[in-house]
Amino acid sequence: MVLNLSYKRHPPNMNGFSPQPFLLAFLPILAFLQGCNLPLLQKNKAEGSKSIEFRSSIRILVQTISTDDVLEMDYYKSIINTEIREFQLVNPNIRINARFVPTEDLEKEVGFQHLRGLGPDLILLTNNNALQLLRKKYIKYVSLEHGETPSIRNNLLNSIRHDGKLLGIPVYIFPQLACYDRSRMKEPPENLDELVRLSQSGNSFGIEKNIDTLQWLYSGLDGPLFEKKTRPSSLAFLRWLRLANLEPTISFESDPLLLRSGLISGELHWITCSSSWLPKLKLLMGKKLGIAMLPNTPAGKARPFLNVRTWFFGSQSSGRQHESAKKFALFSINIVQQRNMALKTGTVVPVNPGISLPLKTNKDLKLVNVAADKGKLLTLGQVDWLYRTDTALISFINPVLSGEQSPEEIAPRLDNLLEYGARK
Amino acid sequence: MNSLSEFFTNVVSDFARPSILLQLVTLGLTILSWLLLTKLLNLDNRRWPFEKRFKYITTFKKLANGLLLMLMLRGFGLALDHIANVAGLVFFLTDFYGLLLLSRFFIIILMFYAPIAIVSRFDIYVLRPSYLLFGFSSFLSQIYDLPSLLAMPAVVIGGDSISFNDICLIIFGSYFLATGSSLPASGLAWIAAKAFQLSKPALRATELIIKYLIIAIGIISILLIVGVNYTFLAAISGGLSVGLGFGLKEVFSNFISGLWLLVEGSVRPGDVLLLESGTGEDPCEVIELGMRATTLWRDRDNVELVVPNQLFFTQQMVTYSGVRDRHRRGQVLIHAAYRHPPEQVIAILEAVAATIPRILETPAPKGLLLRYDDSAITYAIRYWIEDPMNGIGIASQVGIAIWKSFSSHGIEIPYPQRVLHAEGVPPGYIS
Repeated sequence: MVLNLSYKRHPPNMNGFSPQPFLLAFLPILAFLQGCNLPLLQKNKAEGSKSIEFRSSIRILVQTISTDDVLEMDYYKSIINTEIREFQLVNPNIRINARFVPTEDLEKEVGFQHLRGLGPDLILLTNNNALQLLRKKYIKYVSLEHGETPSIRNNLLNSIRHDGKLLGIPVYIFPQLACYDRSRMKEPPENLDELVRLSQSGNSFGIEKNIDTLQWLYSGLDGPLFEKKTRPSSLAFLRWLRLANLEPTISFESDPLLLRSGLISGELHWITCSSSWLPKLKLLMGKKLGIAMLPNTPAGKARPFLNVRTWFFGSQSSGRQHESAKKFALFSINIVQQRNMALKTGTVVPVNPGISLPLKTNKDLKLVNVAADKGKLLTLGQVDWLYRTDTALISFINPVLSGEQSPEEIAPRLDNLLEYGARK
Repeated sequence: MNSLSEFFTNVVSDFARPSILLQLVTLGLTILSWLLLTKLLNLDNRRWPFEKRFKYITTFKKLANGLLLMLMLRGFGLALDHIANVAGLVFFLTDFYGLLLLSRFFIIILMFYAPIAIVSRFDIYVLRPSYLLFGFSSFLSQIYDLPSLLAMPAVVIGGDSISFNDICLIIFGSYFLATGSSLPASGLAWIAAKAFQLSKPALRATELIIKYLIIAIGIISILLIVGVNYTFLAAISGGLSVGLGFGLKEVFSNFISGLWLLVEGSVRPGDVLLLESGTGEDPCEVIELGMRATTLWRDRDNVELVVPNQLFFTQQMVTYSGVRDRHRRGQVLIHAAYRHPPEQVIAILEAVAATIPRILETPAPKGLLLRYDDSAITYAIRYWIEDPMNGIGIASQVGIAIWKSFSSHGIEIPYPQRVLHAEGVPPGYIS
């Protein structure tokens, strides 16, 4: 080796490297992946004890609430993975790849996959942003053949219809409840007056202030919301919010995670909650956790909106993938699966009405079921409208809560907006 | 075989989607069109305007076909996106290909301004493996949930689980540290040399010290990121101590010697050392001070000698490139017949030496009468040269020039002579 030669300077060349082969190399790879009659695939086909000819693989995407909540993520993973395992026992030719995405990243993630032509075949959503996904053509309608029509309670299928066509298959329901700390509050408030009285005696209350979670309060004070025939009247609702907020121990939060952490830390004694939070709350609070129905209102029992977890179908699936996805969705609502899920979690209400659950021995499950029976279903259009109008609705509630504007000033404007929403 | 079968199931299912097929067809059409266009345009072989005036055009025009392909991919991708809104994989390939082209561009630029050997090494050992790794992992992340896959625990050691992510970081991080630290070290050493007016050997020593520092900091950082706990590290250190005490003693000793030599500066890359050999003393240049051994180059036979660093601690070394300078004194011995006046011979020798280009003018060549030998007077011409590695070559040149000059001046270089006196032999016996 002659040392000084290597340090000579002369015009550089490409150093023998041409980047084109990198790209050209992708073609045979992609062709190979496409499943052309290439040798390795043929060999694999010949050697495999099970032919892969009729096997298919689907991608499912599950919406979770928060990125930071590892416990919740694990909870969803364990439910879905158990279901997948059981499905694959009877359908070994269908492979399922599940991915868990928090709500805030969901649309971005689906968009990313969709742009690459690899959009999910099934998406498990709480249906508040289903229409948004439909508008972007990320999901598509589903048609059920004879014999595929599932047994679903409470006319749930109708709530998942859009333009007369079925958009998804509901799996389970998360009703709204009240969660409280037994060590600080012996009995939860049965009605709104008792809630105020308990707050005056030192118990702290946290109420989620988004309009969909406040619907039980609205309909209890001012009559039903989203009824096409009656014009909404928000005055009593806004007045109660104003008065309640004057109590130093009643707070309204738009972030549900703040309520949850407040109850866990002991800062709050009673909060409005979703049954989907119960696994985590039970784990962290143990026997201290108490659950109850939301307080009765002057109109009677509270009727909160129901969150329905629904399978929606991706628009980019191949025919076989779509059929496999449908098979899995229908599998998840069969009697055995629904019962197993309800018993395992103790916090969700199955959509299949033909299930007998041990409601006498499992009080929590009974309460969740009662709450689901009392709850109100919204159409996809109404949920979508609420989801998109949330900022505007909050902008009506905040000035009332802060005392900046009176309920009388805000009520007509809120009524108009809600009337518009009822037509959705 | 089962996992391979599952893998095929996944990819066959996914790539049978209409949205994927559309992208494949687009990709195929783009590449076919590009192949046709490159045939027609012949961009890399045709003469370009101003090519004679600007030499850069000749160098960079080799990238023209690649650039054309990238533009075509982008164009076809945009069209597909506009029509079907599913051009993500085409865009990914375009961007990746663009990155390759960009790096080619920078490599060419670097070759103009940095030592080609270092740039080439960086290109081959760092950039290209990086493309491969980055391309493969990026492609996987386009089609699968790579972060979740990498986050899965792979092994459990000492109660700590190590994920695929950590394993990749340890393997590829160490590799890229070992191979990729040369270029930044070279750059930093160059800055240091400019700032502190370092000599060439000092520059090379600085470069090596910086390289080792980068590797050491990098490895510690990798271990910290991976989250190896201190107890585990202590256990490893304990094990290493025992290993060092027995099997690795020599290796470690050589490594420490190498570091010490660098710090001390007694042996640095670029130095010329005189090594004892069977045939006499050989000047050798230090090429590289490695972790275990030093590589020397002997110009006589163009041999690279790998000498353990420890040797420099146990043996006395003669260097021509120490603290003062690299100049070396050379000498050629010559005989001249007794009949020639020494002043004339010495003047010729000095004049001849002065004509040799690589002999320094100052100090001037000096001719000396060394001794009176049996057949001739022995003279020496002593001179100074700049590069000690050229000693033998210059001595040869001097010898040839003296022979020519002696011939033209009629100076005899006598053969060995013996005068025999015969005693007791009758007269006329010897004719």
